[in-house]
Amino acid sequence: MANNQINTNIPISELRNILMHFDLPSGVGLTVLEDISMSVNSGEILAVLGPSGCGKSTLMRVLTGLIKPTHGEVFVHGEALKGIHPSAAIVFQNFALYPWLTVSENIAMGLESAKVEPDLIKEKVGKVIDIVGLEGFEDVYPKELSGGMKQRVGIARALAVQPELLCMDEPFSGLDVLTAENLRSEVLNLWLDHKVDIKTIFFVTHNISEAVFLANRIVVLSANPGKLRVVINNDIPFPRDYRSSEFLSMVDRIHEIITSAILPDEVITPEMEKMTQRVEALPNATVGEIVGLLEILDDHKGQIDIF
Amino acid sequence: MSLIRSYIKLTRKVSWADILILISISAVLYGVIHFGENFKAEFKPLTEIDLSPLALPEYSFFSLVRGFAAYAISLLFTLVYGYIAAYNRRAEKIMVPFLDILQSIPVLGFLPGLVIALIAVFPHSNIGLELAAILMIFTGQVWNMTFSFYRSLQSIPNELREAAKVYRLNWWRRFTKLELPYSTMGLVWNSMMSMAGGWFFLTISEAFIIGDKDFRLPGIGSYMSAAIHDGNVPAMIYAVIAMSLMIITVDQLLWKPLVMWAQKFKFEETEAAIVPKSKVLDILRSSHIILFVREKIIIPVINFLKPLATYTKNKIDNSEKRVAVFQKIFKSVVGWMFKLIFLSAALYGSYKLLGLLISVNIDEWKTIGVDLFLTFLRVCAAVVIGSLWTIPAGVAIGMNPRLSKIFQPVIQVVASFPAPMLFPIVLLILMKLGGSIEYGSILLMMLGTQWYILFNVIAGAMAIPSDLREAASINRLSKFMKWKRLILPGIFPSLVTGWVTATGGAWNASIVAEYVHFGNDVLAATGLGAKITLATDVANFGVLAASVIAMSTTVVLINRFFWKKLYVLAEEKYSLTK
Repeated sequence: MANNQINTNIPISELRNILMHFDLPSGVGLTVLEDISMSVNSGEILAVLGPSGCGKSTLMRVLTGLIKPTHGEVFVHGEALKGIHPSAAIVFQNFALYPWLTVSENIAMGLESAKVEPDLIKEKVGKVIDIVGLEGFEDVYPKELSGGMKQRVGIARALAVQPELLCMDEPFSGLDVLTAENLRSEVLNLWLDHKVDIKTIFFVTHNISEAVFLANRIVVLSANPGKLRVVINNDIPFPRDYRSSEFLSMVDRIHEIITSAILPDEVITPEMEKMTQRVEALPNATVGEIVGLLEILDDHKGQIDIF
Repeated sequence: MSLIRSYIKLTRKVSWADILILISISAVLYGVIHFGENFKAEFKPLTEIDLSPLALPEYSFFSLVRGFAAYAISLLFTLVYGYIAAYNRRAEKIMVPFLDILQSIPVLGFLPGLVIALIAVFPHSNIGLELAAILMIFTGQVWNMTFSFYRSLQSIPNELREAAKVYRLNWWRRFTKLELPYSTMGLVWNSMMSMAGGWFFLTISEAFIIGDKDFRLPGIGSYMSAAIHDGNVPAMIYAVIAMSLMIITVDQLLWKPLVMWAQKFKFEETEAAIVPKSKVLDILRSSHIILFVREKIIIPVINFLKPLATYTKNKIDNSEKRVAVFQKIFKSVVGWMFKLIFLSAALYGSYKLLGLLISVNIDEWKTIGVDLFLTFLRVCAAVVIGSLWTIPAGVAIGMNPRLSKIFQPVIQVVASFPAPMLFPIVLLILMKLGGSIEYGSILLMMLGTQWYILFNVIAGAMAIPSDLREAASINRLSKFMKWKRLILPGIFPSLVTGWVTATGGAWNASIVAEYVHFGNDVLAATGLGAKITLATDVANFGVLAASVIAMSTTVVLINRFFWKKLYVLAEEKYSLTK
């Protein structure tokens, strides 16, 4: 928890009024993101949560400078971003490992670009391999690995460059449930135990409990076009338990926000929820009685005063 | 082999780019023919071909060198052209249709002009002839390779590109770590196909007759043509054996190890069940000498060069920023000048060509029309008859792993054998049986082109998912229904590719198949292919130009209006990858 307290005033990254618009080949325009402003602060794990097709991955690509937004600006430490984010790394949904490079060659990719000395590269690669638990697989090609191991390589490659901002694009959605759960806890433990010097983790997911399990702050997007719906602070203390009541109620709350069609104006608190949940129950009645009521209603042109 | 499928792409509609391309091709054609018209210079006397079998190893070696020289040019062309086409949006608009047209027009029609032009440049030596031969082989090899590379570059998964960006790979590292490895599989397969196509052109361009002039280069193709000229049957057999040995040797020593090595670059997340094997690669891999060379020589040299490369790169990076503005202006000025020069040259060339075409009288045009139609019928017949046996055979081989293990390497070698070498022998047999070249030429055309259909059908049949086959079995489909519901729809996309390639090949082959020199005689069928060769023989350049243009235009039009529709159907309805 100590991590979240290092907040400085200037956010690590900031998005201002981002609008993303694509021209489809058919000639129809598609607005993927609309008017999104948010900041990514030091010391937090930030989750962007939303249904598929809401533009969360696009948002991550805008943040890292992989794509330029149609409108709006991206700031890094208060300065407008040009080109690729200077100290970000990405863990990709489908791993994006180069199949013709070995595990260590894949991990060394970013280090080689940074013109690190070969000996130092070796040392750094060895260190992250140790951290993510890939010992013994250094000279293996990715296709010989299971999905979970592949994503470990993806994570190791990202950690190797010691990024300020670690981005993850649905990092566990390509894995089976148990492997995903396992890897998720491992990533969280790396963060909590300060084994890696990352300032912020920014990740994109459609899995509510994953967001609740990992994140300090959850940004919920709505789809078509992707708009910022609500930002939720998640203060459940670590380690979080998937079955605890506060965990479950948080998941329920977010689920409701996502499935409800109304856009809430402000952060929903549990008290407000209790108020809206009071609904008058229907009296017991048989089907015949209901049909009779409908017929009477029909005879009176749809309106009748029964009291 | 399914890799070949996606590379032949037909552009959506006839665009201004097409017209521009046709104009510039006309200009080139004019330039080439114009050279030929002025050609009166003496040239080196005929190269004597020694028909003793002992001379064959040397001749085969010469041919091999020509083949690989052309291949080296093709590879270089492929890398440069494909790279620019894939990354420069504006260039792509012209370069891709250009490639599409060039790969579909019968380039053999350009051979006579090219030979004459290059001989005119180097009148007293064989250099012109050598260059013409290498250029011809190049035109037989290069298009599918370039398409393959271009397509590979375009289909690199987005995440891999993004990883390259996020982890800041510079241009050179992106090329060597991502783009080249990703394209390797396609390039190797297509190189193999290209070399096979190259042999076809090699045998033709080594022994070439224009008018009473006989152009010969020492090589296996000219050995064969000399043997035919002398009616020396044993020599013909030696040539066929030597050619086969050469193809098998190259296959075993080069392609097989290459294909196996390329497996490393296969972009698949899971391990394939069947891994190609190569003894030669095993030997190379286990060899201590190779290991020594790699560890002690190649790697140190690369490591030594690396800092140099980054140093110069850094320098360039810095200076780039400074001169960026100037460069922009310079670029656009040069760009416009280049465009202007290119366009005026193209227009001048096509204007002159038009003059040449006008000299061809109406009656001649009429016979060109009739001949075009006859050749068209032959091309159709060759493809239909070819399909009749290749479809069942291909399906049988493709759906049975044991059969494909036995037959695929055999077919590969057989298909690489240059058909024109066999033409006289096949014709000889045909004549004995009472056939005529009018129909016989269909058989000759088939000889070279049916393999494309066979290869693609095998690839298509192999790619039919096993669950679809199991569904057919569990539902007890009759044999007829199985073909109707499963096999034909399943192989359709590959079949279309095979057909397109085969038709293109058949048009090209018509130029050599409808007009065959046989000893001192000439066997000629009525058709446009024969007309092109005859016009070359008697040096009638007006008719030559008219015929080549008629044939090229027809082929391009058929591609655009017929094959394109089948492609769309195959992509939209029968694609198994969606």
